[in-house]
Amino acid sequence: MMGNSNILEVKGLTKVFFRTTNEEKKEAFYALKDLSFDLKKGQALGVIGKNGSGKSTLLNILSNIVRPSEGEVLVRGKVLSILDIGTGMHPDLSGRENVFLRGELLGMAKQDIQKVYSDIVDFSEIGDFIETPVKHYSSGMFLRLAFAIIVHLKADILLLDEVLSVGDIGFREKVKHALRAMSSETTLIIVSHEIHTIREFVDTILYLGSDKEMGYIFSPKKDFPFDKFAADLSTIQPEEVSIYEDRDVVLKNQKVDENNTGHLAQFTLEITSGAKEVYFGIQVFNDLDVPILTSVCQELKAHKGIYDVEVSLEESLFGYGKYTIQCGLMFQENEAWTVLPLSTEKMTISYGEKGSKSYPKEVFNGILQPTLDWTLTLTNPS
Amino acid sequence: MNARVITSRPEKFRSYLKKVWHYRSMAWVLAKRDIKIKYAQSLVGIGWVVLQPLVAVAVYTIFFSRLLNLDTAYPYVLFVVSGVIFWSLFNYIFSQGSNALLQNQDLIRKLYFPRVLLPFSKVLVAITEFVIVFGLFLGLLVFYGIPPSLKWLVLIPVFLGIASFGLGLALLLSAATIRNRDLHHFVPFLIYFGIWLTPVFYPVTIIPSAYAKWLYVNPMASYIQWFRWGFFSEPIHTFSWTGILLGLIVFFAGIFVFKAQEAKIADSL
Repeated sequence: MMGNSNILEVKGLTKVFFRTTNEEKKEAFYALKDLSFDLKKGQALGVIGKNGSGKSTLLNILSNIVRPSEGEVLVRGKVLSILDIGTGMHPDLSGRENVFLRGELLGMAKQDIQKVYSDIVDFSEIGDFIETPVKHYSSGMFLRLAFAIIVHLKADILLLDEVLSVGDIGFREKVKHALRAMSSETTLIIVSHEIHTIREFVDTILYLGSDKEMGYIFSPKKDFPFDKFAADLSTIQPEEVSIYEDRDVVLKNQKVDENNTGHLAQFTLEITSGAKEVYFGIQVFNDLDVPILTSVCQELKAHKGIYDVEVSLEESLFGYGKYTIQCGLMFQENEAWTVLPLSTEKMTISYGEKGSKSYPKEVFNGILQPTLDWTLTLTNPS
Repeated sequence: MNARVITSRPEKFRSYLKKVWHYRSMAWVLAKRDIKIKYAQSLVGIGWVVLQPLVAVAVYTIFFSRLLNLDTAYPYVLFVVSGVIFWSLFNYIFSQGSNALLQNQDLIRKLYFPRVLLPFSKVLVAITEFVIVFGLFLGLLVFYGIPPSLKWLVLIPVFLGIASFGLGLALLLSAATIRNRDLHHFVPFLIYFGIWLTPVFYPVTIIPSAYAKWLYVNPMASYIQWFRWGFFSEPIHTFSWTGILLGLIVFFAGIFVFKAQEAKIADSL
């Protein structure tokens, strides 16, 4: 190996797209410009940047799907690129057939899939449904099966594009756990809008600027100025995932208003068919998109109809800053609890600007800065 | 460890072929997927394979043999079946093959494999259908008491010739569709008129002998007539070599042109 342990070398990588403007002139658009970096085996890289900064283009080039315009990439080892969770899977085929199909499309040998097949089925928690055509699965089941395949594949480099941001929260944790286990042997490259996912998994950050003259930042995670870019990155919404359609609860409206102790979040739900063991709840995320609070309403043992739900979010619970609220449903499916977001649109609230406190909350680091029950006693007056 | 370099430079033809060979199992995976999906949807799936050519044969037999009294030296049913099975083969490979890129855009955007395998996988699907239909044809030969002969081996070059011609055309059209999607409408047009320029349901003898040789510029006409030469001892025109040569040119041109366009596929879909 000549002492060179780089598993990936990117040198002067440039990708130009040409858009045709109305006067038959072609306008050059740089998706990537003169990008260079090296990765060693076992490193984990998180690629971040605004929409259109070239994250997906980079992954497409590394996956051999798109050719670069200039520069080159040297890859030592087998690359597995998961640019989408279930590409190639077909609704008319059974779960079993899809496992083999998807595995083979990703370049795995049939015998190797056979070896991990029962692990995949176990991991997916799908049980007997594995012999049923995938079109009869709920969206949650489909995602679980698709993820189960991914985490059982072997590669030297694993590319993941945004795939960690879909699916229910419980299963997502399971996937992350499996990925962490893989990461000792596999070099991970992750593209994600969720900064907390990135921070959790990677040791190195590649920030792609959307203005190509500004270039890019390639640095160890500990040196990367997350605060500087947090505002940039947290405003981006993940792609719309409509995985709530097959539930019988529809979110008609949501809003959040200020009241005298903080905020009041209000939701209007429509229950379109009979009773089911379903709970409605909210999650609150901080500005780095870390879920910091979950609260669940009582069971919706509902008759059909329209319901109003209100929940009060007291300012005394939170620190300074911007938060987002997302509502969702919790229910049991095949004995496992599942959480499905009801809307991809999160509502934003911010606290601390009115400043009832005499110290600035933003200088402290705690995710939660609640007003606790303090006692202050002077025991030795002088 | 296997090191690979990804650059903007066009790939050498030899290393491209190597890569295609390396990924060959992908063609089977894609073909198996097509076949499974087709038969997962309907139990009559396999029946359709047989039914379509059967209806064509019935229609041609009634119209041309009964109503027009076309003259063939052996039963007209055998004549027309031998034309229909190869025309269906060509039809499938050409129309499905030229549509394969558009049909699998999701795979092209998200997975890497040499794209030529997409049209090629349609050839593999066509083989499975051909085997079924050809089995029925053999049954007819037994029924009419046609004795087996070594000349039947002509089946192999005829099959390969038609498959490669159909694939070559599909590749040329796919490459052209990458630049201009409207060209795809050309496919049904060519299939529709092509059958009139091919002796599928009419014998070559109805064409005045002065013009007959021009029919053989069409590779399909040449291949089908060679097949009938092998199975039914029809005379063969030397001009048929023109059609065969043209068929091979189309095949190799298809591969070269497609390979040259392949890098642009993901950018333009």
